[in-house]
Amino acid sequence: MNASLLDSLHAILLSPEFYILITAIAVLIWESVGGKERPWVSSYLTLFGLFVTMLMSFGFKEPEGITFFGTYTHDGLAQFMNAIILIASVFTVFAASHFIGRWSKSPGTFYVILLFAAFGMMLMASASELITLFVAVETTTIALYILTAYFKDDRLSAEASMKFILIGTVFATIMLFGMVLVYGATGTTVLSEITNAAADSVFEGSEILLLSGIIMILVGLSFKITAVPFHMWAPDAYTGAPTPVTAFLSVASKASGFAVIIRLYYGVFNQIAGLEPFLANTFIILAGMTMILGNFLALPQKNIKRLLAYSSIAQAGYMIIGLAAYSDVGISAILFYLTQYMFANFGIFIVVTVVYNAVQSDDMSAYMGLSRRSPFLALVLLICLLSLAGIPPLAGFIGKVYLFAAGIDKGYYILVTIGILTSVVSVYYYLIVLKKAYIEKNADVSPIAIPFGAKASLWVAMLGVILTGVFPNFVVNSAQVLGNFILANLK
Amino acid sequence: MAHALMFYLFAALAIAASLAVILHRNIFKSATFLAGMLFCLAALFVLLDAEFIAVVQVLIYIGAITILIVFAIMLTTKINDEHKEQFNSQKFLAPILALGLLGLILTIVVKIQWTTAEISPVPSDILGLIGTALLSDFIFPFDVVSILLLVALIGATYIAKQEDRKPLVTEVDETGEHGDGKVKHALHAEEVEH
Amino acid sequence: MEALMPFLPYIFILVLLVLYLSVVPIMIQVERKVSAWVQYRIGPNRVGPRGLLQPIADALKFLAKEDVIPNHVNKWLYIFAPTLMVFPAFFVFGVIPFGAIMINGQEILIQVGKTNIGILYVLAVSSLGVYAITFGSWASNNKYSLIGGLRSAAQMMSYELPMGLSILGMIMVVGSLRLEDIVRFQIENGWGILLQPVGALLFIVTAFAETNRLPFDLTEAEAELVGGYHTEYSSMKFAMFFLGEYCNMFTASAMITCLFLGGWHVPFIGSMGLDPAIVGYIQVVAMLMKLGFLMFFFVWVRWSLPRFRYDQLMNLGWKKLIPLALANVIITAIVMAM
Repeated sequence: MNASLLDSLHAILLSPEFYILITAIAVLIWESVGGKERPWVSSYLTLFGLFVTMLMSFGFKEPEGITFFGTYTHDGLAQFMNAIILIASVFTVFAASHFIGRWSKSPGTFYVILLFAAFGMMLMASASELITLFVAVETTTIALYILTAYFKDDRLSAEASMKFILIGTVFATIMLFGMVLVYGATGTTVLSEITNAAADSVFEGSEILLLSGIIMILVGLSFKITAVPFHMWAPDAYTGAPTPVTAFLSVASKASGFAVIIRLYYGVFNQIAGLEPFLANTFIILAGMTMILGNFLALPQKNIKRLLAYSSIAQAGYMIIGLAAYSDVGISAILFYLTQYMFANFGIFIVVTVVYNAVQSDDMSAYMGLSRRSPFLALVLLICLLSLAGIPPLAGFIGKVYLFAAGIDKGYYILVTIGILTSVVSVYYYLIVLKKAYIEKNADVSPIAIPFGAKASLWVAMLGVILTGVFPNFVVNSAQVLGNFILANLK
Repeated sequence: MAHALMFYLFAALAIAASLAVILHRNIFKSATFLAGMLFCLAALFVLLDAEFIAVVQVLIYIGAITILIVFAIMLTTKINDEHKEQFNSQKFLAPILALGLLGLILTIVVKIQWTTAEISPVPSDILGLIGTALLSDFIFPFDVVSILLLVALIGATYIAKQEDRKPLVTEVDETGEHGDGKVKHALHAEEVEH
Repeated sequence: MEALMPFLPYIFILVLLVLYLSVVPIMIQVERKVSAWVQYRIGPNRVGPRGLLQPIADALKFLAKEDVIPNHVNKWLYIFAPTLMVFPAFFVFGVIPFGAIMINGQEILIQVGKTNIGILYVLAVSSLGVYAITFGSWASNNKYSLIGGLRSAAQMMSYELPMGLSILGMIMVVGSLRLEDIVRFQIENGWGILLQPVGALLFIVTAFAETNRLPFDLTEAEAELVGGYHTEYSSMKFAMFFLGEYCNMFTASAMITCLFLGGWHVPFIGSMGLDPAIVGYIQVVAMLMKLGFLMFFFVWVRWSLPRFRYDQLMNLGWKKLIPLALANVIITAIVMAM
């Protein structure tokens, strides 16, 4: 291929994905060369690659652009989601380095698959054509299936992956069917052409074709963001998966799902005449069901990972309020909420991995007397859980206020009331965990050692939650700018 | 006329075979019927002048995927018990959902004003057109597919691979923890035995 | 002659069917005689002059034998499997060009079905062959049969990949999937075995594996598996499996000839100044002779080489043939780009 053709393709836009791929292949080669003797090199290599990718993708000269015949768009939305996905991957590597290495015999492959999953997610955030989108979604989900089954001798892990695969395949099929219908109605798969093609569609009955397609795609994506009633895989998959994978699933996978929904439904489908009110109502119903079911089903849980799974379903419900709002405030609120949710969730999940390493249990009773065994872990748990519950002055409070404001802007009073009431419910089950950690006593008072990597990432997560809560202006401002900018660009 | 007759014959066969896939109590025979159903679909594609799709259908679905299913059935013991309960507790919900989907598709089919063409809608040089499209407009997803396959390959190798025997006490230095050699319950216990 | 033109395809079908079915008894005789020759034996010499009527005696024996259907078998599939065995071989034969003859100054290709996707069609249909063996082995409800069937399924799937990849090099050189185009290209530019030596080697090796012939006949492996997938079969049903095996061999030979041995082409025949009509017939005969040689080659290899062990077979397929085939494709692409 000659240089002028490469220039005309703007292949430089793809560099973040490219760096991730190079890293993945480097780790893969290291695995087969020296991974047996020095498995820790894989994790350092992965971290190095992720940091380089972050540097390169944030220090971009020309961030905007569409390339490869409209199949790939690198814009503000993609950049923001890339940041979230990359930071989440770094957190996952820190969580995995002291967890996967300990419980699995070949930890190196984990990082390879993790990097491929991150690649797929970044591509999901950037795909602006239906086939590319589907391929990216599949790359991501296949990598996630493997990560979920990573402890292959563990029955729970295998069962989780099995459920994930079966249900995931069904939803992928539904989404693909939807894409086919959209293509049938419009004759194009490129997103920027769909709106126009839908406006002057030539044949009778294409509206119902298009509408069915749009709903089916939404069903497929709802699976990714665990919106009720398409959430049934999440509790089992989250409980059975290795804990770092659970964290990755609950943050990065959801972020990429939201990125796709924002791109498809803000940029394309709501532009089609008469669809916006219908889609808004759909999102309102999804949000309401997700918040209610997620929060109430979290109440009776005894396993901390299962509780967090339901809590993460509930958190997705709050974010769907932002989707329903169809405004720049809505987008900004989702972006802000994702950021703080990432910090809080990873804080908690890294605590879970450390505690599991010490007591080999994810049961709630394992957290009894945690404040005596390790005050730092208990503190991180306290701050992150309170933030998820939305207690001021932590970041979760700002995030929820922001989302509710976006809802009230559009007059969704009932939805916001549901949100506030379910938040109160959520405080209850988060406090149960904290009660175990702070008030209940444990016969075993031996201190829990925290590996360096985990400690560092716990500090980052905790400070992230506090700082975005106390000084929200920076993130809020940039989220606002991005929200305006993204909406303007998509339309 | 003969053309239409063949079409309806294969369509009817496909429906019958797919019903047999679900309803037959013997899972091996279900797989057989699945192959038959896919073959009928390939025949339908041929009748619609889509030779390429038909051949790919045979090559991939019948020649590779179904044979893998058959393979898995033959390797699994106790899967052929015909007295076992065939359906799980969702057996009433599933047909309702399937019928709902059927209703949706029927609605779409009825609502659209179909036009018929005298000439075949498939261009004669379909292979060349597909090749050109894959390597120009759709080169990006086409390339990403190879990465998708790579991930699947690595994952399959990882899951199928027999682990080397490694001492059960995990490295202490690496995690920086007190290495008391505690081992997760089910994880390594089986490995010790063989 | 003119009136016959519309019926030509049907005539071809008839001729090919007769050819096809008559190949089997001939091959049985050749197999017996060659094996005797390789092993310093005499071979069948009682029935007819020099034992030439032996195949007829065999056929009569098969027909006259009691057709036993054991009680423990799955009846429906048990009967269905042998009939399925010959089906892919017959199907593939429809697209193979046997030559171009001149009728009334018009060149007519001896080929039943003309399709744009020739080779893909061949690959697709021959991938169905494994079903007969799997069905037969499973329906027999017998552990030897089952193991034979499992081996065959794994083997045929593993070797389909290098087979497809080995053809890819040739397709890239020719630029068409039609078998007749590939043969015509070879007539102009030299035989495929010279253009794509690695591809030809790979294809021949995988053809042996796909037809389940020695050294890859692990599906039958009489020393360890009694008879493999056809242990429980007798009489005509067994004969059908037998028939299928030879039909598959014939088809594989035809594919090798068309892809790598120049099809019906006879070197230097164009420069001899013969009447084109006669050249056409000579070339058809040449095609049949090439087929005959390859069939003999199959038999020759069978009685000369020992059988592979199962893990060796899989290693050869996945770790040697596939990388080699991929390298062949890449090198072909580089050479073509230069």
